[in-house]
Amino acid sequence: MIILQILVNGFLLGGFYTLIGVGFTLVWGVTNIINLAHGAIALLGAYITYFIFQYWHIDPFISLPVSFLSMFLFGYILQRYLMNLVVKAQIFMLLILTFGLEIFLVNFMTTFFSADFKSVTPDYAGSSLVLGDIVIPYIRLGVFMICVVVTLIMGFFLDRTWTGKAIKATSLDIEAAMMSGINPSKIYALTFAFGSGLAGLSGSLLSLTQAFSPNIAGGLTLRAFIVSILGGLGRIEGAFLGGIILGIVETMSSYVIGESYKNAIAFGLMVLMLIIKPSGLLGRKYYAEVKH
Amino acid sequence: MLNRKFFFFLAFLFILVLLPFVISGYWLRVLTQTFLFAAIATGSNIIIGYTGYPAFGNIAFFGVGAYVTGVLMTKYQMGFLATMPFCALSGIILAALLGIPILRLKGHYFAIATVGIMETIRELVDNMTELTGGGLGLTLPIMQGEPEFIYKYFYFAMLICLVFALLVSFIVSKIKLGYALKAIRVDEDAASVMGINTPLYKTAAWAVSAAIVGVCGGIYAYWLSYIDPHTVFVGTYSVKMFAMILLGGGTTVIGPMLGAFILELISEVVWSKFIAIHGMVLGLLIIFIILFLPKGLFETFKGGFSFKKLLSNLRENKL
Amino acid sequence: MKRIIFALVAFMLLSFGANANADEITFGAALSLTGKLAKEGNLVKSGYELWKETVNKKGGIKIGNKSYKVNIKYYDDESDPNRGAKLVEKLITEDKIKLILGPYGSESVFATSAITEKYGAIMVQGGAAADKLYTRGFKNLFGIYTVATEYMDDILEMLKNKSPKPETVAIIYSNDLFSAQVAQGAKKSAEKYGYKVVLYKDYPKGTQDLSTVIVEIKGKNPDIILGCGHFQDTIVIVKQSKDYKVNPKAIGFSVGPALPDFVDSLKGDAENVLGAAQWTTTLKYKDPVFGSNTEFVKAYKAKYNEEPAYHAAGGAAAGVIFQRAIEKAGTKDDLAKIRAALSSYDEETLYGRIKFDATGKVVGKGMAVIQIQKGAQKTVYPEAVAESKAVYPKPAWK
Repeated sequence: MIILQILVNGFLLGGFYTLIGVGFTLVWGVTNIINLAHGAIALLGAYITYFIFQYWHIDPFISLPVSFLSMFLFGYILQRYLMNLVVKAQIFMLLILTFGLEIFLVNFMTTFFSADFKSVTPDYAGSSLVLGDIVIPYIRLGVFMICVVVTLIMGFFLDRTWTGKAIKATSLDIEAAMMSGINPSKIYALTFAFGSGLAGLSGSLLSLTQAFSPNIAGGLTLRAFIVSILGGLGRIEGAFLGGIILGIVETMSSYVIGESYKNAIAFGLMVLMLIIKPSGLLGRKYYAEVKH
Repeated sequence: MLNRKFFFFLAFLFILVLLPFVISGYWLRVLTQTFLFAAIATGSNIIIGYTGYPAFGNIAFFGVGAYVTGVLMTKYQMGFLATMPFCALSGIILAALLGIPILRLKGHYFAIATVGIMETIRELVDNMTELTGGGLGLTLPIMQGEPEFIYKYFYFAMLICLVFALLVSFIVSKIKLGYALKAIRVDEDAASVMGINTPLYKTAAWAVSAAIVGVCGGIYAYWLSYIDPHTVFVGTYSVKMFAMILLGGGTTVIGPMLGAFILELISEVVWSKFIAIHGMVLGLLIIFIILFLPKGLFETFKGGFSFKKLLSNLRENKL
Repeated sequence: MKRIIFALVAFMLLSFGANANADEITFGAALSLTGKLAKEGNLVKSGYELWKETVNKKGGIKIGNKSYKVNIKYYDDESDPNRGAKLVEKLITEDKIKLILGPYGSESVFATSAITEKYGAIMVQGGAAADKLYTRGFKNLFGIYTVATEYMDDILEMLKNKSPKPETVAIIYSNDLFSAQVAQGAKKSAEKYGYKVVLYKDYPKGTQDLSTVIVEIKGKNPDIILGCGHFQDTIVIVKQSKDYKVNPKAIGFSVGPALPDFVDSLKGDAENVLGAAQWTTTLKYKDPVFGSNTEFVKAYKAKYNEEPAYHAAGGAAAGVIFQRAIEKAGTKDDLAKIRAALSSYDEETLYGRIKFDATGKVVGKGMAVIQIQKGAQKTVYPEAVAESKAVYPKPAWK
């Protein structure tokens, strides 16, 4: 039953794509910042997990919070003290700013960590759950479950907590939010911090499933893009949907058409979505677009 | 005033024409590459700066042009110069076709769609191994002749391409198309209400820029004599082009060219002095440009250089 | 503003120069000292440097009764073939160097050798293996890496005599110049030895997920899996094969196992994986400059504190061959004579017996086969120089 296995693989891959996309779409939807350095930040998380594993032999799943928190902090500082300086400028300024940041980070990692591919392989890597004909690798399952949990937590956070609601409010109408006593620069910084934290988290999980090096940063950001476009900006559930769809499209198209076409199809899908429904599957006109 | 600027430009051009007979192969190569980027930036500026549509993935046309020349020369034994009109044509046709759905998008969405297109085309080219050599790349016939002659040839080829791009850009700015584009950039809805056929003009702008960029790609392919999908559909070139337009100013004809010169020459200097960390320095440089010089070097320092002007952008854009 | 531009241009025009020391022979090399191929590029450089030191300690290159010290001018191509081409042009036209030591990476050698051919400069390279390098009718390129299409031949040859006899082979490869040629050659070799190729598929360069392909392989249940890609894909293939419980009798890769990071990245999962290697430290060849391969390894360890990888050995060997050709030709300036000396070169070096065909390709060298045993890389074939016997069939992943 190869098709079933391929579908399962797609789901599992999709879980990972969701995680990569969730932070990205949140930042974009709320602050209108397209963070081209997203992939690079994810890799920083991967390197943190790698070093903790190599030198202190701490299990990667256990060190996840470290990766999340450090990237959270990094993102907060980045936004508050660098990106806030140009937030009101033309959108493309920010785009190029984040690109400059990506170039800097990728070269930084290459210079100090080298471009060698690294990977995290704990002892239990490769063991899988076997259900009849279907094999479900434990690590991939773990990644998928973490993605679901994180997505749920983020959704809850945005809907139920005061800070979360403040973030939503700021994205809908920044002036009204200011009048309610919300400090937009802090909110932006917080959102970006979450975005970065989630990026770092996904990077850490990436290190478990494959080899990584600074040069794959661009590819990761691109995947985050596709997920966000597919699912609709700023929508957590959208990222989940987008991620799963991308995962399944990739594995299925690889099987049906050919592995080498899977990238073309993924990008083609994104372009198609932009033409047909730019706001994504679950998106309405995205928040910030209302007034820009 | 126009005459004075024009005179300076002619003098500059004159010096550029004389240079190959005075300086060495390496610097000629650097300048040839600078002309290339300047031409790409000038051409792309027609859609980006004039019309206000950030075609981030315009390098797609560059890659297509490169492959058009490559395939025509290897599979159909066509002469190099004969392939040039085909490069331009490929750009025009592709932009016209894609323009119909894509130019309906605005801002970010348009930008991403163009990037998506570039990536998709690259992957497709990568897979069409029969035609394009796919991942194995394409080797173009090497030009026959003395090396001295060869590098002068490409220097002038790129220079002519640049002058051609500048000419086209200049003409566009003076005719009805140019005014229509400006109107679209400032307020597209108002322009449409006033009776300007916005889809037509936008597509025309994109087609013209694609033609120029395509020709650049063709020359590039012959110059390098070996291309593969990952070396011609390069995202970094897009950002460089954008930064050049930004630096030099997108609303003028020569702005992008000046931006190209400055950025390329600075990159050369940076590279030779900071070998190990030049990548990081480049990243910081771009951040610096965005923070302090978003309107371009010339706009910001119109009345003369001062630190105050440098910082004024920060104050304006702070949240 | 224009003032600044002119100043910059003038500044740069002033900063070039050439050197011509009469008692020296200067070689040029544009290598990937930074960027994504930095590690390999620096390894090749370490080989060049060790050769330079060794020959200079003996007085230098002997031409007639005069000895010339070796000097090498390096530039960093940042792992970018375009930049490499630009820099080689600089070496030739500005620094006036016509003896070029090659860069690392098929694309870089492809681009830079087009430049050397254009100017009539000579390149000896120990950094790239694509067959297509040699189909362009070039006269000035000499490469010592066994070409891509011959990479997997020795692994397949070694396995055909093992029992239980493997019958079926699955070949997957990355869609790039080098890997595609390795795969093409692997397929030919497989058919030559009587194997049945049950799967032959490519995947996009740099892909991070190969689960679908692995699942397909599982469906075909081949005896041998051959992965023709790069380090990153090799890691993914091993990991995902284990994930999906794909257990062939043998699994081998064109790139990966020969690199020290392989075991680091995979730990126990690297066990019993086979790899093709251009060269290993245990080969017992004689060498005209170092004395023997074993002595080269010793000298390398003494200078750099680690075992040499094949890139470093390739670099040193390129230097050795260049040197010997110059000595045989009796001149450092007559390029035609040096070229002829290289064309007729036929000698045993630390890298193996080196002989070039009319296109500059090395012939008859073959690849060594290595296997990871107990976390260490062991040469298992050819049997004459093997350190240990190959483990076959490969036990299932634990």
